[in-house]
Amino acid sequence: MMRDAKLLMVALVPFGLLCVYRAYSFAVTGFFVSDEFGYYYNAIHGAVYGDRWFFSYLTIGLFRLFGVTSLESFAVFLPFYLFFWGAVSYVLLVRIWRLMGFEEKTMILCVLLSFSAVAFLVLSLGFLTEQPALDFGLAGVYLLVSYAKEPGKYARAFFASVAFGFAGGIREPYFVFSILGIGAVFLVCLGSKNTAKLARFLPLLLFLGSSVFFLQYASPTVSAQLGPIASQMLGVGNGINSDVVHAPSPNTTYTFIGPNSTTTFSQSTTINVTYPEYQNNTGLAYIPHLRSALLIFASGIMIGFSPIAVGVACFGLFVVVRGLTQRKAAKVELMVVLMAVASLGSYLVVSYIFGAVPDFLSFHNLSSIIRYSETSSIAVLLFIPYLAKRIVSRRSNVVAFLLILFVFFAGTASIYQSATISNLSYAQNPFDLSYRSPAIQVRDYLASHSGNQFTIFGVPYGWYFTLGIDSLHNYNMFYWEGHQLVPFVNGSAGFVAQHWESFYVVWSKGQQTLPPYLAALLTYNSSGLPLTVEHVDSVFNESTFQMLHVQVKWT
Amino acid sequence: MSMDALLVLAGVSSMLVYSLLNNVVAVDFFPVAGNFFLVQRTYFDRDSISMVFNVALLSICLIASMVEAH
Repeated sequence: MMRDAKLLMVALVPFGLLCVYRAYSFAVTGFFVSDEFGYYYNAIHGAVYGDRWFFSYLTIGLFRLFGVTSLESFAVFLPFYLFFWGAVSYVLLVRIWRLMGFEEKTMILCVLLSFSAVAFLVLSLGFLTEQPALDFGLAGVYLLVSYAKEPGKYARAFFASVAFGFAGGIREPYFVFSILGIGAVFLVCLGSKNTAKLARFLPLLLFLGSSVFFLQYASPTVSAQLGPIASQMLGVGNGINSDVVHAPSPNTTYTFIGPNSTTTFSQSTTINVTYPEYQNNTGLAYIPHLRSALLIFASGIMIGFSPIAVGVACFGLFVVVRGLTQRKAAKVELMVVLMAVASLGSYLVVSYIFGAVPDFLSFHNLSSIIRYSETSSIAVLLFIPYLAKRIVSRRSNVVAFLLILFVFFAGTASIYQSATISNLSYAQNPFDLSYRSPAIQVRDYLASHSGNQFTIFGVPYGWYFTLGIDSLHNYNMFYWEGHQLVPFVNGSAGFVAQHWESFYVVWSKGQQTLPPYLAALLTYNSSGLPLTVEHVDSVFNESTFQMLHVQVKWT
Repeated sequence: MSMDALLVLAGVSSMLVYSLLNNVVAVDFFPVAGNFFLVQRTYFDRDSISMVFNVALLSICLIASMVEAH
């Protein structure tokens, strides 16, 4: 570890600063993504998120260990949490690169290049599942590469499977490593010089036993997602064997239930899926959605890791594959290729799932596409040292390469900022410290009028994930439909029963729809209610949200 | 016995014990509010063949690891 200290400093000092920036930005701007709130809420309430049992246990355990019981304590915990997982990534990467035989100079360039891998960098700065899953995936890769180097150390094969199992319990696509890893360990066993059959195939048996254990407990994910895909690709099951598949009626609406505790919280997203009719044919060309899946896959990798990192990785892939075909490569290189196949394969599976969603490949979904490409970061990071090794051989090459990297990112930084938040409908750049979320603006307004009592109809986006709201005691908040965290005013009759004379209406433009009676009130139309609207004054009229002060007189 | 062998034995035994508890005795472990690990009786709904296969495979792994460790 000590010999890597300088190298790790190159990675961890800037990464640590980014973690501090992220935590500070969260406190000041209130920017977060809804998934982060879901994971936080589940961890606080001891609930498991879907099939992500390991991530849920882990965060629940960490929250209890470090006494994270409120948003304030979470804000303090956040930078350390982010730094821990990022640091683990870099330590594991350096260890893997060392096993592959690369020197310090090469690895320093690789570390700098890793900062250009947008999916890797951005996702490591969120309270999300991506980074812990990547770390367990990297731990599995490290153990398998190390096992390939020394096949006698069979415990490494077993614990690699355990690591992949945990990674799969954090993010489902990592189960592809558990499945393809069986083949990788089998190949190492075949090449082993150990003549005793038990000793020779024990690693395979252990990897298989452990993988089956974890895959069984992931059965809902595997049977619901991977099973149908495998069936479709093999041309069996799911009705594909029939001559013409009569798909469900068009525009079938599916509701995916997100974070869901046993008591109060649920989050849902509705996606309209239109099924085409397709003929029964065999062969890759007739796999449904294959074209859109491949486009999502290619664009995700290209945008998620920047064309420079992808280009450098492609060179590495070429070098390794050429070595394998000329039988020059060692077992380590073979394992690296197999792990890269698993890494890319896991993203291909995800691309295939989303390939079924019409028009998924759009600018609006770019942030999701970048995010889902994260499982392929292992492949990119495994291959970048091969070209980096050649670049560092001459000082002028290093300077030229760093210059290209700098110019590229100076030119595309704003594009990447837009792409990584494309589905969030932000008019301002939330990465900027001058940004203020709707909840922060409303919080500051209430705090600056501490002598007044507010009745707020509507919930500003991010209200319950905003620091400082617990110390506000001058407001009552209600919502116009069922809400997990605030009281519900049931229709116009419920509104009349409240008999408010002065209240504030808050809503996100384009995201929330006001009930008709309330929308009418804002235009001075009483819409049959026993009241007269006296004043409607604007408090906030931002591009993404609005807050109005309404005064009425009941008749 | 080497450290590798010990670690493998511990890991495989844990998986086997969990599988037996979960699949045969039918208990499941849930982290819920107030109790991190609450042991509840539950009705297992997994495919019985995969359960038997899982327990059998882990048993073979355990025996093979013990033989190799000796």
